Amino acid sequence: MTKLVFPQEKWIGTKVKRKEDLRLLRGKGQYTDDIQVPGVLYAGLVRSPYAHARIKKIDFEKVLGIPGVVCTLTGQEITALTNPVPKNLYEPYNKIEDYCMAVGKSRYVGEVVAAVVTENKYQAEDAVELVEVEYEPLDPVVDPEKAMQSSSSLVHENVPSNLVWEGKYDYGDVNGAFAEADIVVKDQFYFHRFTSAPLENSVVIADYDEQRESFTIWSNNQRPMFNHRFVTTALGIEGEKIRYVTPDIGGGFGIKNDSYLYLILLALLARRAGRPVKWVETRSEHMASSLHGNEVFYDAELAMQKDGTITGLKARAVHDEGAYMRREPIGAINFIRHATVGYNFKNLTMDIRCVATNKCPVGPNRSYGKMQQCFLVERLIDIAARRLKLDPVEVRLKNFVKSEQMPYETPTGMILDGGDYGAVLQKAVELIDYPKVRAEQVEARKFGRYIGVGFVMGMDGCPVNSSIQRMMNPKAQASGDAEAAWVKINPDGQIVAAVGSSPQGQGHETIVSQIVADTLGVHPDDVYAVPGFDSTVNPSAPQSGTYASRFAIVGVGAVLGAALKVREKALQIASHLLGDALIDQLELEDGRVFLKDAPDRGVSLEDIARTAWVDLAKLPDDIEAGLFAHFVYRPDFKLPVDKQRGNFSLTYSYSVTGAVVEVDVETGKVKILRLVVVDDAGKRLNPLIVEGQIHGAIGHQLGAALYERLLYDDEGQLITSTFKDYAAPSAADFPTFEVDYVDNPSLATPWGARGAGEGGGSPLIVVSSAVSDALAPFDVEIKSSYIDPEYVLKKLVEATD
Amino acid sequence: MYPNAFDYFCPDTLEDVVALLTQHGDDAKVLAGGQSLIPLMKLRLASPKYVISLDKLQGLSDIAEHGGEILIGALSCHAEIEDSTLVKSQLPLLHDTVSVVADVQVRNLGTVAGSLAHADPAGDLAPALLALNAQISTVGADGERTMGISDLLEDAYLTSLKDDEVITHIRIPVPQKNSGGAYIKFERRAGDFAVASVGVQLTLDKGGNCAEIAIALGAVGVVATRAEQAESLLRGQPISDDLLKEAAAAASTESDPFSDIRGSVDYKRHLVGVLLRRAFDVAARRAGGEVVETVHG
Amino acid sequence: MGKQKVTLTINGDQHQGEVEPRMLLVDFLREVAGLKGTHVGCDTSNCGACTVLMGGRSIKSCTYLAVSADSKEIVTIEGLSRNGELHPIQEAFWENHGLQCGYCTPGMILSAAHLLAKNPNPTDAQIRIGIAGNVCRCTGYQNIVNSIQKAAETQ
Repeated sequence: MTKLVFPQEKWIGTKVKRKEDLRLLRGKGQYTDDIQVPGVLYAGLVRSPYAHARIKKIDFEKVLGIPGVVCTLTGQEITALTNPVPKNLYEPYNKIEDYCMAVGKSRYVGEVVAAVVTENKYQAEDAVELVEVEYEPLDPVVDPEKAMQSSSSLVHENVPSNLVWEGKYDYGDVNGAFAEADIVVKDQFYFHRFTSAPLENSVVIADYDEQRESFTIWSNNQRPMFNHRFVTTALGIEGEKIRYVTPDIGGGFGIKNDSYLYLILLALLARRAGRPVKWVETRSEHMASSLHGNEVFYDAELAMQKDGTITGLKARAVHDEGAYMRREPIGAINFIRHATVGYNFKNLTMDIRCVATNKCPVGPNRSYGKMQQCFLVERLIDIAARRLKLDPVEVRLKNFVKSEQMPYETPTGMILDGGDYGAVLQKAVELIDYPKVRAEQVEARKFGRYIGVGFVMGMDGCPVNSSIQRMMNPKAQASGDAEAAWVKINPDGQIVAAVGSSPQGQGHETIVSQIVADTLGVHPDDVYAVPGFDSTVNPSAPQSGTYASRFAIVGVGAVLGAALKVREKALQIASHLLGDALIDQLELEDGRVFLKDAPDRGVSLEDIARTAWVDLAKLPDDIEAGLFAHFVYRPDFKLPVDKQRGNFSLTYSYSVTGAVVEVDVETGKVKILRLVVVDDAGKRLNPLIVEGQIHGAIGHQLGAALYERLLYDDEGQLITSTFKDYAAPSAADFPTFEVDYVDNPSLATPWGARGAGEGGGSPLIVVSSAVSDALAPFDVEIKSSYIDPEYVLKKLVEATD
Repeated sequence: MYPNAFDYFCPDTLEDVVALLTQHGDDAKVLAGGQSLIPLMKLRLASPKYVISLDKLQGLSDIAEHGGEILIGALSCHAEIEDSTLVKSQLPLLHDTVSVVADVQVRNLGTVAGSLAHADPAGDLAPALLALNAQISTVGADGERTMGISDLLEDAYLTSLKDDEVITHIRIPVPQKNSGGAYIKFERRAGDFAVASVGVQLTLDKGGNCAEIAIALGAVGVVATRAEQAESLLRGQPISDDLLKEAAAAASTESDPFSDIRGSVDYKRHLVGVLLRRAFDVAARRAGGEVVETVHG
Repeated sequence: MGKQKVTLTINGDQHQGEVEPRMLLVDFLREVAGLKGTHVGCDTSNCGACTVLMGGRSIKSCTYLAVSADSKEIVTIEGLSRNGELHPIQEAFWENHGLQCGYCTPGMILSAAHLLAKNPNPTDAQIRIGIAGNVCRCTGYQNIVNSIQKAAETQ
């Protein structure tokens, strides 16, 4: 295999301005809703107003009389038209049936129960309003703890329990560690439900070609090829019968990973209507039924020695999964990749329980399942440090895996890929000027002002080694990760590259251009990186897509691999054209291959390409025509070591966030005075883009800590179903962030990059740390990831009562 | 999301507006800036059959002082009031208020009268105008009338405006010398509806006592209300921390909030007391001639 | 009553259409005038992705009726750059990585244009309040605020 090393790093690692921006800034981006397919119809979806109800009757009578209605579809018909989406769960829970519409009963507010197709989108809403559905409300299952009891009604009646997945993990000697510990801190913690809610809602357009019995599906799904097997299984068709197009995508953050059910539904509607059908999700639909982030209830204990050495962790984690396990239980199992965060303790047990409830399903949401584990560990460390009257910064420094121990194998089998955790924390401490803040804190308290400071670590393994699926189902047959790319030089000299990712703002066109530019000795502007994704144009692997911060590893590997193959071939042809010059005597620079010793003797890439494609007789005998290479990159991933250990990521991105907050103890309002993130993404391929990603993670995670919460009432009604109720913060709600770096190249990727931009939750977790610190005089410890003023005030009242 | 179908009229004169309203009764809705009505129609929480736009009416967007009153035309948008130097100098309470209504775009279209007529329990304008002792002028089939804010507001989203009536002006008495006011809104995030809000308008006498005071509470009841007990505790009294605490406690008790996504009953009551003290402090300092920026919660 | 005839001046060009009174301005822009740069991100007038200028003032085109916009002047993102050159605000967003997915960007830029027209030298806090009606989910706003600050300096 070609050794994947950049021949030069002239553009990689520099702040190349984004290519995508030139169209996006002018309003010339093309999002799925911008695509106008001739003859397109619109789908309106009827959704359940009940969390849990039997669907007795669906009556379209009133609908059929209004103008514009073309056809309808109900869940009852779905079972005859499609197969359920396969579930990667152990028996009998793999029998849970998940269709693109509710069949028989609805299992959460917002679940699709019927569809109407009309000539225009206003009519679609009119029609939806007129569909009469008769429901028999059932007991809603809303509390996951109660849901596990045998008295609970069942979300899925064909399985014995709402506890749909369970895993118990035991590493080291936990009992010994707890027996020997000087202190044990034990408490309950809550990680709340929220969503990174991309600004563009889901949009799908499907068209059916009757003659070819094939579909075209335009969508903003962020990994159509990954989801392809779900779509083909559901539709019962062969792989090559679907063309996927994803144009510009208005944000994803994991939420658009799992919109595949709508791809299936729209395909069915298009086939039934005999015309293309478009569906544009409303914000309310998005909030109620797209995907929520993992909500977890923890009972946890941490054992520590008097000197601050962590010896062990025990936790029981109950995940409120919502009605269907789609990507789950991956998020719940993701604890395994960050079980000990960056610390060197060896002993832990985790009891993971995934419980079905009558709520929207949970799944990938920036820092999926990772920030939850980091939150738990970081909170416990702060609490233990306070109990021992130790400085929480010192405690962390004491327990960190040291840079000289890298690569370091954690008890759960992760191989930490380098970095200097202590240096990153210390940089954050310096930037915050920790001693000064401590002095200010003392002074402020004299005047009744409560300032707090905290430093926490977040870790984010990326990309995913799919062998993690063997944890959820021992029979799963998947491992590793792969991405595909091609690079070509056309006969006119134009350099083109395409990759299987479907980016949502990560600037892949720019980075692809940087990679190809450095490999082929040209300027990034000379490279045309195909925008968006089209399965008839772009190459792909069954894992393709943009998720889990995988591009910096697998995307880069794929493009670099293809570009290097083109380079190699270009040099071979050049060598021949230059009179069989030795290849190691050749230089490739400024779009031209020349002899190192005689720079005026050379040939341009354009000439090489023209020769390769059209002046074929001039090619060496043993060489294939054309200047094109396809490459499918796979990182060096292994199978799991045993039933509970394996290296399920390649790079372990990490950051430390330091924050200074002030708490208004009269109202409970938290004000962020300073927020400093020190990140180690290893080699930053485009520092401009990496910084943007870090800002974005801060935005979501700080927003989640202070503003954003998806809230259900006791009946399973979603209270926060619009942007009016769901408090997505604005610029006026955020402080100025300070971002800095410690660059320690990853030991696991040849180019030293780690996946960046999910943050491991440190900007979220730091709020609980700093607020607890501010309220130390009241002995308040924050145990919730969501910290609204009322919660803070309640904690204060409890503490002072 | 899209509104249900309706017929649309955009008459040139107030008379025509009233005639259309008289004709269509409660099937019709008046459209001013639309920033409350259109979102409701899009969510199909309101589905009027007739929408009557006030867009072409002339002379209803002036802000001027006249005969001891500041007259605000019903079609003045929040941004115009926010930018008005008259409002800023004479009615700092109102300036505080309009600068925290939703966001710039909404303030560029949304009108003060539209906001009042919408009567959202968490709206900002009602408590502010209540604290300012404002009155509204209306015109309808039976002619013109003037009423106080408390007479206008009947219940959540319900006013005493008849189907054929529209608001034409807001009339606010020019505050006496040594007066000051402030409006403080506690919000979850910038531009959100209030969790709770308090407007305080007061006049100091020469001894620095609180000669006259009006306190209005927003978002803590089905309609904005005056905190009369708190007012009577303070009226005519020298200002002290203890008295202010007593008044804050009284206002908390007087408030009648409901529990929702923005907070529980107890929390909102608690906020009323805190916000009252803070608004009072700013208002008193302003009455004393200080230039003070309001810090919203 | 049915459809009504409207004429809007959009980016200096006249656009006519016969529309249902309930048609939102944003749909007129996108579907009648074919200008897809104005986006929709919510139903409740919170996100600002649909922001355009009407008579020089920023408004949310999802909370305004096309019939109400009859004979009014609208500027959308497509009308901001002249002769293919980026407007200074667009240029600043490009230089300072003020966008990622780009979905909020048109509305954000038009809000910035309104802000800078009213206040050519805004402080950081004034910028943040000035764009509080525009939600961005990618950037945490930092580079957007920087971009507007830089645009103010170069304008």
